[in-house]
Amino acid sequence: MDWSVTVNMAKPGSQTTPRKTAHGGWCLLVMNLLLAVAALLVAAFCWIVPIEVIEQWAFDRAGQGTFDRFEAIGQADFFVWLGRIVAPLWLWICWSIGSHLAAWEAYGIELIRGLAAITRLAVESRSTGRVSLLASLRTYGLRGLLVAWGVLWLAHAVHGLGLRGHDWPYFRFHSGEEVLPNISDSNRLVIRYLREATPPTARILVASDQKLFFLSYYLRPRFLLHRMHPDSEHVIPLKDQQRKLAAFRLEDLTAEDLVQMPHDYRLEYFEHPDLVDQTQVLSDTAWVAFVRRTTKNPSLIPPYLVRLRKVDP
Amino acid sequence: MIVVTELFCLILGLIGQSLFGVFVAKSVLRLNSPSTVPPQVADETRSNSIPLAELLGLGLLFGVGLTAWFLLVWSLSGGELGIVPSGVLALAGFATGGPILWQEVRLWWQQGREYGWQQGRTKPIGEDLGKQQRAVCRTCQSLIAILMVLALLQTLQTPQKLWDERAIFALKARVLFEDRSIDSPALRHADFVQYHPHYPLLLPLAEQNVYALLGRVDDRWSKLIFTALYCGLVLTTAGVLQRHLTCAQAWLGALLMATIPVLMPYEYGFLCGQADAPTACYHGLSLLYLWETLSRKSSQRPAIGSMLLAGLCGALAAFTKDEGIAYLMINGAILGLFLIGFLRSREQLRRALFGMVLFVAAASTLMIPWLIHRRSLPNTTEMNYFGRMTVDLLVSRLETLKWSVPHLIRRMFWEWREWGLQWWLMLAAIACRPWRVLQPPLLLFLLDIVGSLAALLLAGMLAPAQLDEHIGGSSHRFLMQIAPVAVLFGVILFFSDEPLPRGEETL
Repeated sequence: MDWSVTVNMAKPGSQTTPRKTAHGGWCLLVMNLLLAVAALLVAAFCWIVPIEVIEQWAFDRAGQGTFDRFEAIGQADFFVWLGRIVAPLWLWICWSIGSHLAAWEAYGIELIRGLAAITRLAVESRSTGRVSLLASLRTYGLRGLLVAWGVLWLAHAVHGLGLRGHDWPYFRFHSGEEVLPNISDSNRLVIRYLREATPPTARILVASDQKLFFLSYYLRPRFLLHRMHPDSEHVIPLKDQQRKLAAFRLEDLTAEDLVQMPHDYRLEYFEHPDLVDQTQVLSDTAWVAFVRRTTKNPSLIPPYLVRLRKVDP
Repeated sequence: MIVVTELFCLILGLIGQSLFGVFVAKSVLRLNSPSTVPPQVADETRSNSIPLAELLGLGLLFGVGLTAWFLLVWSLSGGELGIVPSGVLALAGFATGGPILWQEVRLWWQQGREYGWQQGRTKPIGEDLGKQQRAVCRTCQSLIAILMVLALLQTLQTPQKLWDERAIFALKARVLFEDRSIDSPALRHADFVQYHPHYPLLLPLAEQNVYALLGRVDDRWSKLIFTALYCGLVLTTAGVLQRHLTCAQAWLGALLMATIPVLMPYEYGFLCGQADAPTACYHGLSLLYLWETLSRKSSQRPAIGSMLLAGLCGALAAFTKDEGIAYLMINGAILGLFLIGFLRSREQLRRALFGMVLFVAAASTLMIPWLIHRRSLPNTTEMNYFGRMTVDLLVSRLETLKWSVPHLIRRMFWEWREWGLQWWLMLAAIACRPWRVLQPPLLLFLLDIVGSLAALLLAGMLAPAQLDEHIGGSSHRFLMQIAPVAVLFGVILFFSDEPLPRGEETL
C-alpha cells in the first residue's frame, strides 16, 4: 500500500507543482479505517447471528398494537438482509480506498477544489483586486444552501429507508392482487367475497355509499357499474365513515337507469350507520358465512350491509 | 423459468422502445447540429454536440411517451393493443436507434473518459482545473448512478398502492390490456367505476404496454416506467446543460435535480405510479428546451430541434395529466409576450414567429389524436374547470385567496423540511443575480412558475370541492410538478456567467 500523500495546493486554474502533506492522508486513513471496522462488524453480525434470534429480539420489543409484532419481525428481516448485502459492499469500497489511499486523497482534494471553483460567485474587482463582502456572501450562501440541500436529502433518504422497512412486512414479494394494499378491511373483505361469489365475466350493478375504485380495480375483469350520487361526486371520503356520502339505493334507480346499466348481479354495499338497515345485515347468507369463515369468528354479525343477488336473465 | 422469460421479454421490449426514443431524439436534435453555428461563435468555448447523456435521457422519455402515443394512434386506427404493436415498436427501435446508440457509445469509448467533461462548454483551462472538473463530474455521475439504482429498487419494492395511481391510471391500464382497445366499452360507460375518465392516457397506455410485453397484469413491474422517467429527466438535464455550462456545473445541476426530495425518495414522487412526477419531468424539460432556444443569439441559426423538443415534451406533459394543458397555455402566452419585444426587428420577429409555429405544430401533432378521443369519454367525477369559469363565480370566490395564497407560501418556503429547498434555491438565485432575471430566457422560468401558481389558485376558486381539502390535499403534488423548473432556474441563474446579448434575444 502506498501511504505517501501528495496534495496539490494550487488555486483552481493555476499550474503548480504538487506538494506532499500528511494531514489529509491521515484523516482519510482514519475515517476509512473507522468505516471499514463498522462495516466489518455489521456484516459479521448480520451473517453470523441467526435471523431468528434477531426476529425474536424485535418481537420481544414490539408494542401491543394489532400489527406491531408482525411489523417488527418483518422489519427485522428487512434490515438484516439490507445489512447482509450493503455491509460487505461497503467493506469492499473501504478496501479499495485503502488500497489506493494517495490517489483517493488527491481525488478528494480535486473534488473539493472543483466544487469550490464552480460555486465561486465572487469576482475580484479589476481595479482593487479584492472581493467585495457582498460577493463573498453570495458564494458562501450558495455553498451553504448546497450543503443544506445534501443534508436534507440524506435525512429524507434515511426516512425513506425507514418507510421501505415499514412496507416490507406487508408486501415482501407478494403482488398487489394478493395483498390488496392500503384499503379498508371492509373493502378488502368485499373484494375477496365477490371474487369467490361471481365469475370473472360478471357485470355487477352496485348501490353503495362507498367510493368503489379499488373494488373496480381488483375485481377486473368483472365490470362494476355504479350510479354515483351527484352530491358525493367530488367528496373525499374519510376514515371509519366519519363522512357520510350521499348514495342511491337500488330502489332509487329507475327502469331506464337499469336499462342503461345491463348487469347480471346486484350488490348492495352500505357502511355508514345511517344507511345500513340492521335488519338486513344477515340476509345474504353466503356473505355472512364468508365473513365468519375469513375472520374465524362463527358468531360475527357484520357491522355493514353487503347483499349480493344474481339477476335472472 | 416462465417468470424469467416474461421479464426478459419485458426488459428487451422496453430497451427496444427506448432505442426508438433515441432514434427520434437524434433525428430531432440533428436539426441543432454544430453546422448551424457560425464559425466565429463555434470556437473551443462552445460545443453544440449532442451529449450521450441527453440522447439516453430523451431515449428513455420518448421510449415511454411516444410508445404510449403510438399505441393511442394505433388503437384509434382500429388496431388491437397487445404484444403486436408493442413488439413491433421495440423491433423498430432496435433497427433504427440501435445503430445510432452503438455509434455514439463507440465514439464516447474511443474518445475516452476525457470526452465526458470536454464536450460541455469548456473554455481553454489549465490542467489542474480540468482535473478538478473531472473529479466533480465523475462524483456527480457516480452519485446519480447510485440514485438511479436506489430509485429502481425502491420503486419495485411495492406494487401500486396509492389512491390516484390505482383509481385513475392503473385501473385504465388494466382495462386497456384486457379489452385491447382504447374504445373499450368500460372506459366509455358513464357508470363504469373509474376515477376521472377524462384524464389523459399516457400512463395507462404505457402501463398497458408493460403488461402486453409481460403477458399479464402485474402492477409492480408497470412501475418500471416511472424509474425510466426519473433517469430520463436527470440525464436529459445533464445533457442539455452541458451545452451551456461546464461539465461539472451541468452534472451538479443534474444531481440537484435527482435529489429534489419531493421527487425522490418521497413516496408520491417517482417511486409510485401517480402522474405528478412524470408531468414534472416532461414539463421541466419542455421549459429547458424553450430556454435553450431563447438563449440563441441572433447571429446563430434558430434552434429548430430544441423548439420541436420543447413542443413534444410539452405535449407529453399534457398527455400525462390535465395540468399539462395549462402549462402549454401558460408557455404559449409567455412566448406570445416575448414576441412583443421582437416587434422592433423584422428579422427577429420572423424568427420568433417561426419558432412559435414549430412549438405549436409539435405540440399539436401529439395532442390532437388525444383531444379528439377525449371528447367521446364520460364526464363523471370531472371538475370541468373551463365549463365552470364565469366572472360571477370568480368574483364570488375571491375570498378563497385569503386561504390559498398563504397556504401556498407556507408549502413552498416554510415546509422546506418536507418538500425540499428548491424554492429557496430559486429565491437565493434571484437575490444573487437579480439583473439577469429580467432577460427573456430566464424570465421564461419565472413567468412559468408565476403562471402555474396562478393557475392553481384559479383552480381552487373554480373547483366544486371543499377548498382546504382540494387545494390543501393536492398543492404539494402540484408544486412537485413545477419543482424541476425552480431547480433549472436556480442552476442556470447561478452557474451561467455568459453575458446575455442585450436586445438580440431571439427564438
